[in-house]
Amino acid sequence: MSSLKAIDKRVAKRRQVYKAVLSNPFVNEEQLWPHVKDQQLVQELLQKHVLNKLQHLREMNIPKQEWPFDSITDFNEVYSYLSQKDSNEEVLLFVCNKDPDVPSVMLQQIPLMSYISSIKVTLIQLPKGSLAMIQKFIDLPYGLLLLPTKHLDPIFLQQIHEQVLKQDLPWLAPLKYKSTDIKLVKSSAPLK
Amino acid sequence: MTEDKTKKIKKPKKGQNIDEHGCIIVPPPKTVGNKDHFQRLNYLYQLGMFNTLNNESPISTLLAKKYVHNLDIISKKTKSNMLPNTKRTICKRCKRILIPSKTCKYEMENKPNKRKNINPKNEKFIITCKCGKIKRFTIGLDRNYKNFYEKEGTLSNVTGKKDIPKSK
Repeated sequence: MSSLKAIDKRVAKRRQVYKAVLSNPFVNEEQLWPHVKDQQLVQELLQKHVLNKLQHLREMNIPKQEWPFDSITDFNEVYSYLSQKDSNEEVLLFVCNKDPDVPSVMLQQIPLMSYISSIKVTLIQLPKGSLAMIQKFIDLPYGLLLLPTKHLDPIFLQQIHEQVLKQDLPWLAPLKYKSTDIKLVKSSAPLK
Repeated sequence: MTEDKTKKIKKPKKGQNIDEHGCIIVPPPKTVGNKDHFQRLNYLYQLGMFNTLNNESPISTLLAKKYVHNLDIISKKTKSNMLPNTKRTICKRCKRILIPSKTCKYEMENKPNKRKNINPKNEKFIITCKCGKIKRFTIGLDRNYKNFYEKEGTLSNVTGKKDIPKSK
């Protein structure tokens, strides 16, 4: 004996259909985010050289102006810092791009934003679960942590640069024609 | 006459897969129709991007706008859809391609209400084009929001041969 609902489900009412859509030729997830050789090591380095110090400074109640190095976590501040013109500075931008609670609309803009910037930006993607780990030390509302390299430990910088490949968007410099990327959208339509 | 009537009655196909929601499962097609329209749209988008990025002279800006305007019209007339992440890079008013700190600026906004309280649900991601057109994404409502196309299993690649060979 089977229920009426189960019998009803056996009778087909809809049919799967596929619609073609044009994908963005300049969005390639693999190439947008520069490859990090050992993400766990980068996370540990960040914790050891930056986060522990920041937590210590906060516990000591030292005002932010007197901290030995800057740390920017707010999106608006990160954007205004990266859109500075004629600056020879270098920054590290850590992004928790695999964690939930980081808006995807905002994340999609970051690789291009850092690439277009006149500042030398080293974009570093962090492994899954790093947002919760960093939030134990500092408040990270958007999963972004920007560190100007001016006052950072040179050994830390060297180790980070060894782990992260240079961001390369081959379709932008110089702009190359990319063949059409058509995707199929799976949907359903009622049977006639 | 009686033979014709019997012919018209369709027999249920053997081996038809029906999923739990009563939907007939069909394998994806190997080729796509009206591919030339998609190729035209792709070419126009890239021309628009090239003219926006590489040259900031007024003529190239106008050209870029014209290319993207054509792209918009062709996609509507031919009913060739584009993914939201492509459409989000185009200004709806002036047809500029939105590139951060070149043709648009980004902002995260959360205005306090009348009682001067800040509600995290009102947080908005704002993209302002040079022409003044504003796109608002209310990210505070659901930070994990994914549109239909971003969900897993919705998009698949065309398995057939590509028309244009890769340039060496």
